[in-house]
Amino acid sequence: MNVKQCVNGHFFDVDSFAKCPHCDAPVAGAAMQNNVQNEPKAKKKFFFGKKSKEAETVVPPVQNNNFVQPVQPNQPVQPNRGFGYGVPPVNAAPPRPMPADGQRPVNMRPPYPMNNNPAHQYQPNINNAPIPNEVKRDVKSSYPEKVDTIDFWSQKSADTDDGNTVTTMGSFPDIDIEDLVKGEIKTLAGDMAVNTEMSYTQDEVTQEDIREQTSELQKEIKRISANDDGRTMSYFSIAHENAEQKSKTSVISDPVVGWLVAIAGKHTGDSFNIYAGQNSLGRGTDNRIVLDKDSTVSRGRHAVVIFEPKKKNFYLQPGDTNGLIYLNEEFVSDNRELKKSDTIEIGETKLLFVPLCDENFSWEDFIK
Amino acid sequence: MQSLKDNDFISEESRDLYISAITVLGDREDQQDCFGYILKDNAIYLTVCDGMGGYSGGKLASTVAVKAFLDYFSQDTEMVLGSDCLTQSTVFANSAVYNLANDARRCGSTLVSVIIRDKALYWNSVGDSRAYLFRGGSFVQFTKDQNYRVVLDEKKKAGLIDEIEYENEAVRGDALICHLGMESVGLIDYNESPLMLLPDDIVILMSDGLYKVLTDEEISSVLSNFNDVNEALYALELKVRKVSKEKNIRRDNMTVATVKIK
Repeated sequence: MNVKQCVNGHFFDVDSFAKCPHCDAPVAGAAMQNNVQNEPKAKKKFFFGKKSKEAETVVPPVQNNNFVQPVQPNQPVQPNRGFGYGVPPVNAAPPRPMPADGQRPVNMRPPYPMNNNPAHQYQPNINNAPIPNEVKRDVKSSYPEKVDTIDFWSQKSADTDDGNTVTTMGSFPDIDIEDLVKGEIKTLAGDMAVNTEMSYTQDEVTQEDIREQTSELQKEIKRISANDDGRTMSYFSIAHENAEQKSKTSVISDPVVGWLVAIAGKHTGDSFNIYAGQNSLGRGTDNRIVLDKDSTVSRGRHAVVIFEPKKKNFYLQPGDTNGLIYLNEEFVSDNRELKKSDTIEIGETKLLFVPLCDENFSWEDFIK
Repeated sequence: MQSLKDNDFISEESRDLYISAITVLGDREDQQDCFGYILKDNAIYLTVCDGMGGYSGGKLASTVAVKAFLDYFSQDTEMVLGSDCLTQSTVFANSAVYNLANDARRCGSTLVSVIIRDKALYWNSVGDSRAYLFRGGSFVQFTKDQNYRVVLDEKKKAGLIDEIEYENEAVRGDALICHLGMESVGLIDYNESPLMLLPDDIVILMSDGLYKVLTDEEISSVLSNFNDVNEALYALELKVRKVSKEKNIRRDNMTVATVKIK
């Protein structure tokens, strides 16, 4: 394959085509080929080799005005092209095909004021000064100067109160991204700087740097996130007056009758309400008393604490799982009565029993 | 400004920052995503909200949340910058959404918001909309998702559930554990000290319409391949369209908002 450029800047294989398959123009003058990237891939490596830790905007090589092109008769002077970006000179290019729906006019003009050197899309500040050899990183050049001069997906512009220009657009055309990426759709302003081989993963050194940078960033983010009891997520509670009221109403119909307070194990410090009737204990959330931090507790009904309201007695029973329970260090095989300050061992958790309802206190005195 | 259209693209530039954002209806009847921002010379207040709820409750919720957020910041131009004022704006937005609910309509919204001022970034997130930082090839998520899957992951890591139970429950992994307008007390993911940004950094806020279709690698490679953020957003939309068609996915509303530091 022998890649050359036609007079309009399109790359094509001269071994396969006598003239440019895009526009039927002949190959540009042989002398012009020297500075144009005959081996685009090699040039790409050069740019990628230059990538350092900071993100570099890849600016394609600038036109080399030091090189004087022989002007052939009946042919316009062709500027050098950045590789991959075949910006045709405004004067000489044939009209581009309209998009299928014909709705969007295809804007041929790059967005910058034109002088005799057609401005490259990524080099807004071209003048006639000699171009330095190294590729300079120009942060501002990645954005056009004035958004409202680009006819870009039929954009409209308006001025905001701050004096900025806001650009909004109509609907999105349906274009296959593969076509866009292959450069077959040239309907955006200039040509899109699409280069699928342009990737940070090409260069081994850079990939390592990126991994390191990524992990540094992750550490930083973890460090600055708010911490709540050393948990991995950061929290801030949103106060809700309405929520409190709603929880108050449910208490009256089903009041607490006692508590189990965890004094050993992962739940230490937590208290669990005991209600009238049967209160199952287990790791699963469908239990009334959920011990989800203790992995040695069975998921199902590991044990049951019962409050019998007629005699106001509390009882402890094993559940229907494989797990065992102990009351005051003694193994529990059947129904046992609970007294104040008894300790229940379940899994690795130790629970202290604190009754509310006893001979001195009864909810009947308060709830009519 | 606040976006109120079903499909929208916005691009604006100030002295120190660029903002570009795109919102897409996808295959839904309603656009329930909303975004809004206030852009200053050296600062930006930006939020993306994804509403949920039938009978257009979701659209209303996200629109109200964004409006409340913008109202909170528009009064004070030189507010003391800190995590406090951003979390207060989230609480304010939460009340606004909560008060929308009535017997006929329950609705909620996610919210992911950032303040960037003089390259210092503070974020707030409630729900499963995300924010990422793109810096020279690194693409790092800095918000935490608040869905059931995260709870399952933590339980699995702590050994409280086994593989089988994890798999069984994982089907419901997308369910939110927190959002604006909830009945009970909610939780905000935020940072206490600022994340300092560098020139050329891109901060990306997105609703789940994007990250549930494309992987982080795919999004990151699009951002790497297109220098111009506007073009990158366009390419992302095309890529999502293509992948959705291939996998026969019914597209959700998608919103992507990017801030680039000059």
